[in-house]
Amino acid sequence: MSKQVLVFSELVRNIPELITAAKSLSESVSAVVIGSEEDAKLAIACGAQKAFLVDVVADTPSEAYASTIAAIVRDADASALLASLTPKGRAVAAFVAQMLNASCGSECKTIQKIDETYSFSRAIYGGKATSFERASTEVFVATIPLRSFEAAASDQTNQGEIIRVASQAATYPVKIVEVVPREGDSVDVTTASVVVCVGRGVVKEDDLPMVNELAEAIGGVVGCTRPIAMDFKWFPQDRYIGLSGKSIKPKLFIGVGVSGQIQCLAGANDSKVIVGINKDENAPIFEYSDYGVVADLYEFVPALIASIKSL
Amino acid sequence: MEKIIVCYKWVVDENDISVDYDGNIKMREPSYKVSLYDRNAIEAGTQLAEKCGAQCVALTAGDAKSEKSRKEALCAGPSEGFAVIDDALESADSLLTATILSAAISKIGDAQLVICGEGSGDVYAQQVGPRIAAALGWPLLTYATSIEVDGEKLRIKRDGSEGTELLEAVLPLVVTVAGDCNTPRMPGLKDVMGAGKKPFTIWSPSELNCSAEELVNGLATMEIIGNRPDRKNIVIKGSGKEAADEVIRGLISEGVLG
Repeated sequence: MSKQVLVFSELVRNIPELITAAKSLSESVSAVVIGSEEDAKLAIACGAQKAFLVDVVADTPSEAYASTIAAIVRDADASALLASLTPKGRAVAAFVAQMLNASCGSECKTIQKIDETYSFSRAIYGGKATSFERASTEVFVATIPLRSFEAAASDQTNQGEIIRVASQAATYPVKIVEVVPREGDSVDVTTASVVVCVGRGVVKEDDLPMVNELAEAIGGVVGCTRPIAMDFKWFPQDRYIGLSGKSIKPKLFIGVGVSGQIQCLAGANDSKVIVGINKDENAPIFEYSDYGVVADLYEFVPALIASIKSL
Repeated sequence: MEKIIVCYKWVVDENDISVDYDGNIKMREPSYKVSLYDRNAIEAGTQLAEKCGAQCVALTAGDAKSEKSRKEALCAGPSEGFAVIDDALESADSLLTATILSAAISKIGDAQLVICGEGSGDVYAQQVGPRIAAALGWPLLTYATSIEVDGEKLRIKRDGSEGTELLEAVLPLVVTVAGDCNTPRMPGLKDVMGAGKKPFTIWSPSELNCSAEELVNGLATMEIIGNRPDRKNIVIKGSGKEAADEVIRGLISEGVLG
């Protein structure tokens, strides 16, 4: 019988899909749950043989649990730990991996085990290439993008054991003092079906009404590239699309004055159709565009708005 | 706080990487640079050092090419640099990189704060910062958007799922900084000239008591396949009604409009 595979997410709702991923690697799957007994029961109902339950300590960052999770993986003699790909999941996974002298596959698109050896694939160079890698360490840690696997169905008749584990999180030298709720931005670029993306080709903030008008005419929302949000602050940071920003999958992405740096395109590559508008015919955006419009956006965007309105 | 160590990676400029029609990866005469988000780490360390009179030290690990990072790293603010150089580090994975960097941090000594970028510009695995914390046995805090010193404490902000988290930390600490935590300074001519005069020490792994057997990756890359963007690449020249109508017809035929 192959060794156990453990799963972990700081968000309990992600655990069922991790269990599905883990079941493809081992018949023996257990979950690390930072939460309540109810959460542990859910993991068991979804197919975990054991739930290692660690109490939540108030005002403590997720990183505080990393050394406890590493100890659980070691004591369980597990061959792998799968963590969900959230910012905190990534950090905890990497920390755990180092403590166990383990390799860690980041954002694995696929993952498999052949003869007790783990291999996986992931995107590199901002999505320009896929790397196929093999782990040679005794323990393997992986982060799995959200919604890569179907959530395991919950079955209340599943039996399992809840094991309480004490953590040192209460003495972690970093404390959350306050959480300031984010200012409401009613626009969510990650769920919109059409995203019009403002790039640096849009010269000044006063020109944004033109872009807004295009988005409105076409039934979309306005997002932007990193410098527009971070350097120029024309939009809140939740609107910027890219490697370190939001990843989006709209049916239509229109880049207005977007040059097509891969840090940006990495967040929009999964769009069904990409339209690029740029006056420089050598701009990289055209390589990624289904429709590349080589034009002065200040002339073309009004023409496009007029054409849409005349439909 | 006496000493802040900022870690950086010397990477191929992503803009020099292209994928041809057969999916082959091309890096024609690649140029190298300090990885994008590591520039934020260097800036954060430099600002903190300026504010509290500490020393900011830059640290990298890589093959011989990384020696050339000296000017670019030091003109961005740090007063001294260290590089661990070995051919075996050319394609070091996060496990090996963090093991080497943490050994170098211990050898440099006296550091209370280590700052890393959130992830490298090439592989962006976002592992090295957290791994350094684990290797040093120090607490970790990731994705900081601002760091301030308040006596013996650090006040740190970051974006949490519920909003902006305000945190307090005591030293020592490993922090990774988010890309939006600052705007790296544009070095002036004086900075560039001065960078060459700052001390830059090169170590081999054996000087960190790392033997050749330890210079092994936990991950082996079996194959890299270029992802040629699967796009129609229809080029439309012109900014008037005709061009707009052509785009509209295309979008309607794709079923994404109308």
